[in-house]
Amino acid sequence: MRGVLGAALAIVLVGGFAMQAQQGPGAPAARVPGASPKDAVDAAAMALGGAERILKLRNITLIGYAQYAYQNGGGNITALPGAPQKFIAANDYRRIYDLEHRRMRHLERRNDLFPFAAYGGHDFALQNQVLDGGVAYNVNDKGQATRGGDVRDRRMWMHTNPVVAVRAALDGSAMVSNRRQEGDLTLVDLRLKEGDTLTMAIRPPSNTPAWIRWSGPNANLGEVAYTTHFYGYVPFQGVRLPMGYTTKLDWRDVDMLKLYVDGYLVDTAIEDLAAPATLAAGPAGRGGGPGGGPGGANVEVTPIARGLWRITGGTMVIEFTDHMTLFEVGGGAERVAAVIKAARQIAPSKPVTEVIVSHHHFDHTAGLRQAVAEGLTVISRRDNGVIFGEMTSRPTPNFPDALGRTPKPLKFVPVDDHLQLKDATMTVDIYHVIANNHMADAVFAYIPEHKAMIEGDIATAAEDLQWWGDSWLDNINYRKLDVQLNVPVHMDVMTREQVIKMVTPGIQRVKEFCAQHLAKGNYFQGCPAQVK
Amino acid sequence: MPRTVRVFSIAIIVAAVVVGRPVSGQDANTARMLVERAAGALGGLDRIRAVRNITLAGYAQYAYQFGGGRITGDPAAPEKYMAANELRRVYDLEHNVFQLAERRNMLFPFLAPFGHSWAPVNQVLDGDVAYDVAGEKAVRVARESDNPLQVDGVHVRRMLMMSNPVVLVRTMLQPGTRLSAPRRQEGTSIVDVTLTEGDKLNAAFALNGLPAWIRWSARHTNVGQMNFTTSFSGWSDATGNSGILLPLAYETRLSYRNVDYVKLYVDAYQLDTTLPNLSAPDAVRTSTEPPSYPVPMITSQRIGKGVWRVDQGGTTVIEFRDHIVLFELGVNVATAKAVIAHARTLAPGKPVTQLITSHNHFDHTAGLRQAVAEGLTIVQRRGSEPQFRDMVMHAAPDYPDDLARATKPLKFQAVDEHVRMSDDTQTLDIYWARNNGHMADVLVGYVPSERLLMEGDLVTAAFDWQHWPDGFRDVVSKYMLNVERISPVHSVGLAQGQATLTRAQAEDLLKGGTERAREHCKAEVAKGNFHPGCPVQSKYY
Repeated sequence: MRGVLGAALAIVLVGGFAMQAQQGPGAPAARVPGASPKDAVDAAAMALGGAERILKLRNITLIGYAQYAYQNGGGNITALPGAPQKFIAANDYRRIYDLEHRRMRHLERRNDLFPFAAYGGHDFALQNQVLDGGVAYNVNDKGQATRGGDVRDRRMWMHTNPVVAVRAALDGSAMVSNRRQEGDLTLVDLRLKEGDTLTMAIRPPSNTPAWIRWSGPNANLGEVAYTTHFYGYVPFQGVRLPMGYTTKLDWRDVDMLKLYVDGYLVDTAIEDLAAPATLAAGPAGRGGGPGGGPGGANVEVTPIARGLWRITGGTMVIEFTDHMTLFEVGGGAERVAAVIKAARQIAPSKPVTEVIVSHHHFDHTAGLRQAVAEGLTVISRRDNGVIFGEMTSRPTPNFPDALGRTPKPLKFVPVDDHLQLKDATMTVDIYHVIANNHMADAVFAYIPEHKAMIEGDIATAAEDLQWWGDSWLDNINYRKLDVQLNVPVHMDVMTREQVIKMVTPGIQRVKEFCAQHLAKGNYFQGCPAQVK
Repeated sequence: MPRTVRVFSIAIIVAAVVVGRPVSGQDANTARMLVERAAGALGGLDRIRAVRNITLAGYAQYAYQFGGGRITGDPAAPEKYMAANELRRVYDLEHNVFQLAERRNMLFPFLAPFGHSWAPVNQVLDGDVAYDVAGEKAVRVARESDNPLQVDGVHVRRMLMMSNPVVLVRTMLQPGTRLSAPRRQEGTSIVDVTLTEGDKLNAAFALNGLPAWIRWSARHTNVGQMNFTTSFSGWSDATGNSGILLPLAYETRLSYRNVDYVKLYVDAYQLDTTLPNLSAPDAVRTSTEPPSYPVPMITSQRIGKGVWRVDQGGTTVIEFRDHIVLFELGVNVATAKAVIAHARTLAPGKPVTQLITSHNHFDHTAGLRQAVAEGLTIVQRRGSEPQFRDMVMHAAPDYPDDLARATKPLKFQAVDEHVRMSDDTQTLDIYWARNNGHMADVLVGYVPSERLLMEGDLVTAAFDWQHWPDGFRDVVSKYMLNVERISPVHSVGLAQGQATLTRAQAEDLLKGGTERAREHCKAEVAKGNFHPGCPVQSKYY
């Protein structure tokens, strides 16, 4: 390189960071110094500003904005891996790491970057989540704190920051072990004193942490590994912190979280994050992942018509001569186990053999793994078989669920346009949902005897904003059905007139919503409303 | 079609799909059968041919700067996106006219109002005439152009028109369209297509007969040539009763780093509606087509001993005893070539040996390939090297620039914190400008003898809003620089004929911009909109 510049050009290196010429093909690969796990952490600490500086840190405030993959990548228009990802913006984003007291506050305001049927998807409501040791709590917009959230989940996210993780290793709150190589990266495991394990990768020659990985339970996928990559290390008051974070899932390589940093504040006066004494004495919170939904205990069975029941949370039970068929298994494993149990009690001599799944979205499939574990055959659109196969074949080595403990293959019956389930006592027609911009690979069921349509998200995703308000009638007309009763996943059972009465103002609200945003100079996705 | 006949036809197609066979009349017939099968899957040949027009309504997201505008040059650094709402694509098949309409908004803090103004984009292609509409005004556009935000021109708009499965299949069945023999790849059958206008594209068909994707190419300044692959998913009857299948989602990926360049979400289709007349107005049709990639006359001003600023693009030229160094070359290939040639005239006989780029973003690295083609060593932060390597190594067989015609490897000089270039006539310090939410790997140049700082996007990304105002003072303070003047890449704040900003002008820009950004944040919050980059972070302003 210097030869290119000629003898007259001297290159002076100053500032303590040597300029390194490009490594040629024969040059030895850079390595993180030392041989022990501690050596690796020490090297990372040095790269981040030095162990002494890191240990003296009192707090860090990260300020920025972020985007989440909607439903962890399970909420796209189709179930195929190449379908365009839908994102949620998270602005006004802060993470306050109170290192002095081992607490963290997470603030953000979310807005779905696609038309969402409930106002809550677009209201930028402030999320205010705190972890204080073993207490997770949330603060509402009135400043009231309530216990809630998953302690472990928040603890792991707290340590998904390179300085916080390295500091934990330095101050003894995490044990370091298992140094190993993965390509150019040096990996070490950090075992927090609470027992949770993270893996940190260190990239030479900078020796800054490249990523941190940990696993957690997931209702839809069994278990998920979250790998957060760090980009653009920049100094802030003596410590180096990344300006970009990308959290990838070990499922489809989904970029579950993209975090863009505007800046960091270091060792500022921060508010007291201690859990109020009244909360600390209360019962521990328990969080659910995406698709978590209601708990398992509360299942009530409501008869709808001959051979048709609805169970709390939106699973329908259809009785055939010698078996029972379910429609939809949202709500998580615990709920679905209870639902299947309740369904078996309706007609104890008849096994529950199959489930029709309306579409692949993760709020509709959170109990799919439990259903497969209980031997049910799954009926849905052909392409949904791709994602269902992936969801039900994932191992759960650290957080075993029923399917993880006893793996079973997916039994899948594909529907293209129409499939009829029929015996002497019951006929159910299953149809592909047409012309619906929320879900391309969806099915609904129709029981001619009752003139009943069983559906998820066609008319009843939410009452507020009917972005695809034509879909319900479009499908009825397209199939030439005589629907007098709608039995939905998300809402109450309605007559045809009640559905129309519910949907029509929802369409009007969409138009008003679009007009309001337009008046503010905001061209909203989904606007103007595409309704006939 | 009776079931037995259909099965027989498919069997012929599958048997004839081969790799690498020369095109023959029989192959073209086979390809045609493949396309006819696709027409059948979409709703039937007659139905497809009867369509007069299609209107797609929806919304989309673009990857900002084709994936070249991220916080670092790492391939997996978080992608930044632009929303494109109130999106329309009108395919007027009766008149061979296409319209692209949308309103864009950056989903990250952008410093100029156009980034967040939702200004309408209204682009039309009428046969061989491409024109833009802004209000009542229609203006013909160049046959070919590209910038960090888009590729454009007659070919590009025609390819965007083809990126609809019904339009694609219908066009492939037209008599003048030439089809190659199908070849098989990863479960699809691919046909090379040449349109009557001469445009080339690839069309892939899935096993179920439906079109799977379309691929086409265009000239691209930063990577030489960009290949765009648009995949179709979520098939549904277009309107609920049209008898035609159309996809509810389109995803366009790039040959550069497999970036998801466009994600298009369909709200609805309308078929055979009454369309406004989208034909090019006579005044547009008879106007002269603007030139593609015009090269301006290159001029410069001397701003110090052995230092000049080029007026077109803001490159600073630094003369040493026996060579010349450039700071920034963010102009297209042809203009970059002219800027390098101009630099040589400023110090005749001295070679231009190095290009320092302020940061990795595509608007600052548009001339990178030309610089490499001319043998310059590129000086940047270590983290930008992977991106620069990908840009330089990207193939451009259909749109060869100088680098594609005579391939050269990237010569890269990495900077960590500080590098001094010095001889007995000139000293240039290169510093890492540290904490900046726009660009983590950012360099500034400093000529101590002139107390002159050269920068890109640190002070002068745009006039209006400053979302990273502290970077300038931070770098000046950290390295104890005695800055009196600034040579900016972008001409923000420069009066006509002015080549440098005074320090006071820079401070005014930053202070005023911070205040304006805070006002903008406040106005957005009042509307219930929590804007990315708000509230503005500054310890100085």
